[in-house]
Amino acid sequence: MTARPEEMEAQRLSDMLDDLEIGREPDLDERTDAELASLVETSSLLRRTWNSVAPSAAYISRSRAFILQSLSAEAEEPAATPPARVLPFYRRWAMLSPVASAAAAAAVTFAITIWATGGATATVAGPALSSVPSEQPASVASAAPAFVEPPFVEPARPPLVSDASANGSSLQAALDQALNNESVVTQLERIEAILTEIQERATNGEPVDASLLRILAESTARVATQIELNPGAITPLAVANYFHSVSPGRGLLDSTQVKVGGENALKTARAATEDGLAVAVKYFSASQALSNSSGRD
Amino acid sequence: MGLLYDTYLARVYRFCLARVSNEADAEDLAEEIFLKVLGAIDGFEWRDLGVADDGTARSSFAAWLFRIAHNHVISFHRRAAARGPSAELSESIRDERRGPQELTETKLTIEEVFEAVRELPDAQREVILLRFGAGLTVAETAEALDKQQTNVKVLQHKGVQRLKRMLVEPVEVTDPTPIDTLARRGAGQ
Repeated sequence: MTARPEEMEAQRLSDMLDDLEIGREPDLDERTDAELASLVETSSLLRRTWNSVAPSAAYISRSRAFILQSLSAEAEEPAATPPARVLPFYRRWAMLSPVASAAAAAAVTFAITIWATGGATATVAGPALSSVPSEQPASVASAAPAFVEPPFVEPARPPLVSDASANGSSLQAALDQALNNESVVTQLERIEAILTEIQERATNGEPVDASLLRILAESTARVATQIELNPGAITPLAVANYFHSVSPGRGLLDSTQVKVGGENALKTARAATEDGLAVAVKYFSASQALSNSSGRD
Repeated sequence: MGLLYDTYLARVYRFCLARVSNEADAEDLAEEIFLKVLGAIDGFEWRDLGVADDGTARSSFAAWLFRIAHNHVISFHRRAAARGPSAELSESIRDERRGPQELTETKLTIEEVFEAVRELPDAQREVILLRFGAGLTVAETAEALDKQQTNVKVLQHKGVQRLKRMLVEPVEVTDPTPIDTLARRGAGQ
């Protein structure tokens, strides 16, 4: 279906604003595209104006204390806490799909690492979890043959993989399986290592590679998935560590410069960290309510 | 909880201020919205919002939060309809980070922009407020307003066009390069 001229103009403006949001100068010639340039300028003015408005420090302090106090009081009310609603993994696949290419590329890196270090070949006795089609019921996945966990070689730093697509499906399956079986601790270490890397590059004024951001988004999303899917199997300490690992990332990503072509990866990483924080807060909220409720029983 | 509050407060406050034009009301509204959001966070689902037109994942939390904010502000306006007009914007907005000279100029610009935004048709105004006031992406705005992304982009385009006419035209009469003038005014020079 062909877009109408109105939609095409709207799309162009949206693209320009996307560039501005990530700190990139829009590719726009004001002489030949004066109308669009003026709209971009107006949009910048709107954003600057809004950003110049801030609530007063006194209000923030007063309101913050009031809200937290109100929530604490509310949590102490005896109330039946409904069980947390859990989303099946396949519903999250859309979230993870933008980073799937990075996982595929990481598969190659991982396999090469194993091969190069003379390690045992990864052996998969059944289909990898992530290779289960999204439409497939969970019961089918759980009925898959037992998985023989491959020896995992944890790199000192997160692999800085390229966007090359992986052709070796068995190697990809092995890596996907390994990633799915990684402990939360390993995922957290990766998140922290990537954030450190991003911070270093920001300090040096260097743009960040998209693959790094994709791995960050993937690891963040995976832990969030584990917290939501199986909250009983993860300790509050691990969730707290996750929260403290991810929270500085949110601010860091706001000022991160990304290499050309990595804009979507940056947006995905931002979304993943924001949602990851929300999932952690939800976990603690549910834990607190449950604790208060059982304490009164 | 505190981190979520710190992360979103300014954005929620700006969104509210642009809708109610009164600092006291905006503060009350922002507080009420946070109580609502944080009290209901157990009901938040990291929903499968799909991948946006531009290939990015959507932040379902921001969209969820501002959907609540949007609905709450609408309720506020319904309740306030019987109470009459609120205080003038010029009496209420301040920015404590700026000096007196800059404050005056910025305040005027804020007034102009907010007044112009209030003149927009409802659908355009909501999109502009969420995109520029709340800082949502197109995808998140679409989710918060339950609209298609293409629709949001068209509304954004129309809204910015109309705002440009409202904000720039008075300058165009005397200045051959209104955009430059606009930019200077926006920068507070």
